[in-house]
Amino acid sequence: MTDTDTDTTPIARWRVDVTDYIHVLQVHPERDQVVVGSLGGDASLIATDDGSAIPLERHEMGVLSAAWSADGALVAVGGQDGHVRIYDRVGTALAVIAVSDWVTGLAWSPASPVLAIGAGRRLLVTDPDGVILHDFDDQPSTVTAVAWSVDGSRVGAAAYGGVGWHDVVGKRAGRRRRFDWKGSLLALVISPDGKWACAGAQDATVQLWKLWSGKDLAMSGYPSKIERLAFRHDSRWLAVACLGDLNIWNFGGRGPAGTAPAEGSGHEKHIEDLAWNPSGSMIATGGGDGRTIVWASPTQAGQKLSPVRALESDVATSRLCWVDDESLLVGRADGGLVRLDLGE
Amino acid sequence: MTVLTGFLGAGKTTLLNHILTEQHGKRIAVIENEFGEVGIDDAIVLDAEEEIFEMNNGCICCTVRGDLIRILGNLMRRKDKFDQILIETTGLADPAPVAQTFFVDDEMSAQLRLDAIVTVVDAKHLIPHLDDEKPEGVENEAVEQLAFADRVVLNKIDLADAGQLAEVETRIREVNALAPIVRTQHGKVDLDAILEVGAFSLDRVLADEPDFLDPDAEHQHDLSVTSVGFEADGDLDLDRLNAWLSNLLMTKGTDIFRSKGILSIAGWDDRYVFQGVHMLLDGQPNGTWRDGEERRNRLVFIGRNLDRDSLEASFRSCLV
Repeated sequence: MTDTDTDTTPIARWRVDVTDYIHVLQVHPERDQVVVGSLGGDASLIATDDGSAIPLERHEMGVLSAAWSADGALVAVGGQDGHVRIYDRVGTALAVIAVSDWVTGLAWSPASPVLAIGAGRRLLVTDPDGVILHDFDDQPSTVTAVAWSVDGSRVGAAAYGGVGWHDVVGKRAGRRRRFDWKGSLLALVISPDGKWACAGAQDATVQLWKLWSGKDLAMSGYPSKIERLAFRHDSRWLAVACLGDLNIWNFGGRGPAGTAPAEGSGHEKHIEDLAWNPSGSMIATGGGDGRTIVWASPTQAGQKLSPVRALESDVATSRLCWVDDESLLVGRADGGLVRLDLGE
Repeated sequence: MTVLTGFLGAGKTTLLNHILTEQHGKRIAVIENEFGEVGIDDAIVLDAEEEIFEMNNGCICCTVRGDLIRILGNLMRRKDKFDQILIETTGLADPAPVAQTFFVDDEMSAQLRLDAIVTVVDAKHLIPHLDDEKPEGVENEAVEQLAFADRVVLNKIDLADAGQLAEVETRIREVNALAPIVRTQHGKVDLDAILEVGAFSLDRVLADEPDFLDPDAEHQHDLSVTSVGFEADGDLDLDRLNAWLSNLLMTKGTDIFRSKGILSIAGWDDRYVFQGVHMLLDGQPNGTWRDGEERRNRLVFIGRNLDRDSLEASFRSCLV
C-alpha cells in the first residue's frame, strides 16, 4: 500500500515547521512529547497529540544532539555552538554547560539523573545542575557518540580508534577500558539487555563487543559507512542501515555470528534514520528519497522483508520516531515535522 | 569546492581575506584552523581541527579528514546554501587526505565536487623550502603541496626581481608542469583564476596548456617529483586498461600524487574521464567524442620516480 504526498493526506494528523533540516528528534519516555532540533539552530519541545510547541534556546549553527532523562523529567540539548542546555518538560531552562567543541553526543544515565556529554576530544559527566562529576578530557579523537551501560555504571564514548568504556560510579570511578578498532566509529548503541556494544564505522563495518567478555566481532562486506543502527527493545534484533538497505541481525540464541541478516530493500537513496515501534512488531525507515517505509519485524534470520506501508514525500526524510504502535513522527530535510497515523 | 594549501607565511590568510572581502556576490564558506566560528558578511568561517583517519587497514593512500566529513555533512544539509566552499589546510599539511575525503566518503563524493587544489607559494622563499634537505623517509611538504596543485598562486612578486621570478617558475614547473601559475602580490588574485575553474578536469587543463602533452616539449627529470604526460591514438581494451591502472596504482600509488586522463575505450561512444589522488581513482563516461574528433588518449601523472618511457609503453599495450 503506497500513499503519496503524505504530509497532506488524511493520515497526516498535524504538521509543524521547524525551519531547517531536522537533525535531532527524540521522543519522551512516555511518548507524549518530543524534543526536536534543526541544523539551522532552532530547538523546541513538541506535544505529540496536537503538535503544539514550546520553543527552546537557539544553538547557532545547528542542534546536534538531545536526550531525555530516564524518568522523563529533564531534557538536554546540545549544539554546534558548544553549549548544552538542560530544561524541564515545560521548557524552563535549568542549567547551561559551556564546552569548547561541537556537542556530538548526549545521553542520560538509565539509573540516575546524570548526563554524559561528548564534545570534541572530551567526555564529560555532569549532574542536572551542570556540575561536572567526571571529565575524561583525553579522548584519542573527536567523540562521535556516547552511550551508557544499562545499570548506569559506565559510559561508552565512540571515536576514531574504538570505544572508551568509562567507569563513573563507585570505587572504580575514573577507570576505563578500551574496545579498540583501527577505524572511525560513527554511531554507538548498547543492547537493552546490556550484553552488547555495537558501533557503526566509516570503513563500512559494524563493530561488536560482548560486554561480558570484551570479545569482539565484526560485520563487514557493507558497501558504505554505517551511521544508523538500533536494537529492538528485547535485544533480539539489531537493525542496521547502509545506503538504501535495511539489514536486521538476529541476536537471539548464540548471537549473530555465522547467521545472515533479514534484508529489506526499498529506498533509492540513503536511509537517514530507523526506529522500532514500541511493541517491536514493526520498524520504520526514512530515506533521502522522501520515502518512509514500515516493515514487519523479522521472524527468522536471512528473511527477505517486504514493506507493510510505503509513504512517499517530495522532501527527504531526516529523522523519525514512533508515538505509539501505529503513529509515526517524521522529520524532514526542509524542517517539516509531521505526525502520520497509519491505522486510519 | 576549493582546497587552499601553502606554507606558513606564503600568504594563505591574506588571500583568504581577499576572497572573503572581494565583492563577488558569492556566498562562501571557509573551513580552516585559525579563526573561531564567525560570520563575515555573506560568508561563514568554520573552525576545523585536522583529524586524519586511516581507512582500509592503515594504507597511507586512503587517509581522510574525519573532521571535514562531519563539518561538510552538516553544512550540506542546511537550507542555507553556499556557492563555494574553501578548505584551508595548515602550512605543513599533506593535501592528500583532504582530496581523498571526497573520493572515499560516498556522501561527500555524491554531493560535492572538488574544483581545484590551489597552492600559495612565496616568490622569495619557495626555493629554500624546495631545497630543504629532509631526513630519509620524511616528505618535503613544499614539494608535495606543489605536486598536488591544480593552480599555483605565486604571491609576493613585489619582493622578487624578474630573474628570481623566472627561476621560481622554472622550479615550480619542474615539480608540476601542469598547474597554471597565477602571479600576485598581497594575495590580490583574480578570483576567476582560482575559483570554479574546473581544474580537476584534464580538458580544462589542456585548454589552458595545449602543449603539455607534446612529446617534444622539454620536461625536467632531474627532480624526484615530476610530471609525466603522454598521448596515444586508438581505442583501449577495457579489461587490459583496468588491469594496467589497478596494477599501476597498487604498486606506484604512494608515489603518484595526482593523475588525470581522457581515454577512448573500444566500443564506447563516450569519452572516459578520470582523475585520481594517490591510489584512489574517480572515473566516469563524460560526453561523447565529437564527429571528426580524433579518439586520442591523454594521460598525466605527477609523482615521484616516474619513468615516462615505461609508463607509456605499458599503457600502449592496452591499445586494441
